[in-house]
Amino acid sequence: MSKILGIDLGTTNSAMAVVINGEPQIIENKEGARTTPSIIAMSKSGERVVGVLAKRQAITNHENTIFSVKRLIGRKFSDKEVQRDKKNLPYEIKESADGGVDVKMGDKWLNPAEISAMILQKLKADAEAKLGETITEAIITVPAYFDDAQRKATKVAGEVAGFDVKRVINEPTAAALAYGLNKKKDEKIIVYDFGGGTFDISILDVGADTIEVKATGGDTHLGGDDFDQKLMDWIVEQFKKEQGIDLAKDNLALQRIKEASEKAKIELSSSLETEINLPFITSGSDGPKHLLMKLSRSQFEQMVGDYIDKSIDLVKQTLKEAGLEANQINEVVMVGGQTRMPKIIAEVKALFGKEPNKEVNPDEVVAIGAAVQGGIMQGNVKDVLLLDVTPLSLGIETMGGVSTVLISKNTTVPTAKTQVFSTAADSQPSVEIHVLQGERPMAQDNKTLGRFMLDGIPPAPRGTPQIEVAFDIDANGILNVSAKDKATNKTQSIKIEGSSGLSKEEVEKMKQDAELHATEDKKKQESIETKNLADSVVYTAEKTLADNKDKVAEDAKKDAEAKITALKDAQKTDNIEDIKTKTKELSDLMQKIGAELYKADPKAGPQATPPTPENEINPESEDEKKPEAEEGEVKEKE
Amino acid sequence: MDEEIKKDEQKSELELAQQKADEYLNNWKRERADFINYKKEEMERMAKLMQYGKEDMIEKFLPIIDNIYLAVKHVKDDGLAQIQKQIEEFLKKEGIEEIKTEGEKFNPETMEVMGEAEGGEAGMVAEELQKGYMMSGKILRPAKVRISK
Repeated sequence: MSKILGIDLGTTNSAMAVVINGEPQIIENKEGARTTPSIIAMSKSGERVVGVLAKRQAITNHENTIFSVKRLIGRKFSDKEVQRDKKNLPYEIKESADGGVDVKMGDKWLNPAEISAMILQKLKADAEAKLGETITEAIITVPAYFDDAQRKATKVAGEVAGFDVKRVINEPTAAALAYGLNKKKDEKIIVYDFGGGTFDISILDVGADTIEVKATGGDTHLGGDDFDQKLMDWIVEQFKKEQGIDLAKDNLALQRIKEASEKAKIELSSSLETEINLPFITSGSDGPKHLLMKLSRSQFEQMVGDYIDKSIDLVKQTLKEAGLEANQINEVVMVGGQTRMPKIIAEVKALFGKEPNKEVNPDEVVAIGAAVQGGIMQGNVKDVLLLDVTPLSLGIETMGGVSTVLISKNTTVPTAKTQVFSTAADSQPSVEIHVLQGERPMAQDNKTLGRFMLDGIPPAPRGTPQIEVAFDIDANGILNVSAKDKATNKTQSIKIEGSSGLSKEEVEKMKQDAELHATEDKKKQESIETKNLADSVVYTAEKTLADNKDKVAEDAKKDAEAKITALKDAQKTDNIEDIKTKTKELSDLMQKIGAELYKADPKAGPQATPPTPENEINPESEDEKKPEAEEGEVKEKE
Repeated sequence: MDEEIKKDEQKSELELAQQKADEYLNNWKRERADFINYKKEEMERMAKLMQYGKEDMIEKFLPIIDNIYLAVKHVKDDGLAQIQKQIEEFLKKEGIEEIKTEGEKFNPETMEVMGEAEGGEAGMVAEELQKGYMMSGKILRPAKVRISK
């Protein structure tokens, strides 16, 4: 069965995807990029170039470089949008015989559908080359506000490009499909689409088997490009203030600033500060000038605050038109590259009081959704076995109250994992298996799913018994944890139902908590690890001394005993550096003693192996032993 | 009579169950095959990814190299010129080629126009503003040029 190509035919960029093995995947174009600029040009030598190649020659050939043709497709020349855009377009347009728009490219007049067809043709050819098969069927997306004429023209464009256009679907619907929201009956979804050049809001109503557009809104001339421009203007202005030189007239400098502002904008989505560093940006009367500026996230947020506020106002307005309150919206979907900006996510979240769907790449989500629609039509998504993932990590508590993960988060279920653990003390008769869920490194910070004891472990030195702990999650999400003493084959187990029965918000909160506490957790973990290591070094030292009572020289023995006591005392404090130093001292000394012993009797058996605390389970969990003793310190009320 | 109906029912139930068993076994086989094929594809993808990773790294480094070229142009210093040479050798060793622009006709596959210049044959590269690079036949970054009017 041939594949149906899902196409997001955008104003600035286009993307395409197909369903492969039941999974929608973006198809890269010939140039290896995941999106293709929606630009066509007739080069000076009369060749037609599409996509990034057209973009590369645009500056010197603007009258024959056609972009944003989506703003014209299916429209009447007399439309006020066309009249408005006409002023901003560097290429020529005129009224066609039937009242539509004609665009001049080279010496020919073409209608917008023919130009869109050229973009689609390239996508088709590139997809065929990539997939190694002929693609004839396509699903093309359009904005929800497109009228019949615009949809028809888009379909014609697809047909001219050689596609059998199976359906023209709404972009917000495609985005919802990409998140599988079509299965949520009777839900209201809002799609917040902040693209490069346009801002669209759509409110969708998911019915029994339809997705209906309830309202649309937005601004066709507000987009991420405005953010870039704002930043460029700021850089130019700053430089003028500092150096008295206007870079706005220097094309090459401007180009470098443009690239640097795009980079800075992207960086500020993940870090709080960025540096714009452009040495030799220009030359003054007194030699070369360099541009070096720091920009913080909040500074940038202030710069573009008006745009964000405007978008939020438009969302409110659209809600009002749909006769809905923000709290009646069940799902929020983010589309468009600009929605990666943390401030935008925060504002949208604040308005709706819920976490927006933003996991699918916002530049690709529409194309992905179009491919999903194709898959549904061919029936190869519907039949796909839907497999869940574990939203949070699952593990058990080990020595020092550490949470040791057995099944990490985002593992597809059904799955099973087995790991061998041991005891934390000599002659420990039982182990308590404390089953935990969460991302925090310490057991007490994670959620307890259940606990049970495995007793009757025959007396043995610490670290010798082998306790096999098995985690098994079946297809229904039921977690089975069992522990088996390999020496006696004695087994205990627990069944935990609904281990992933947390709501999306709860899961999100637990993940956020982990991020929020990452630094202190890491410190705590390091402190526990240091203490555990000290503990095992003390244990090994004491054992070596006891096993070789008569062979160790008296002064060495005294020295070792003193160091053991010192380390034990240090362990009672929280001075990690001190514990580390003393651990090293003791361990160095024990190595020397070990070497002496070996020299005296090369046939002697190997030294006691030091225990591995991360594999040791206490007879009872730490959080029970020390009830809230440490928490008292952080309680500070008013 | 009743018994016959019952037998028929049992038979069809059995047939249904057999059908299901076949279907499930088939799907299982398919899933296994898919997985094995997936693993093979994944291996190829990994190799490609390594390449991408390298390309990505080099691409991010290019602006810094540009600045060194700018410095060499502005500050006449032998030390700087030596650093430039080092960079050129490094790029060459890693299989990264400079895109040739001097005396070439403008080609959007490998170049990007930044402006026009007077004189010379129309459509020919008049000046290179920023170097472009290729890695194993793929464009890392097009060269930025000014072309003759």
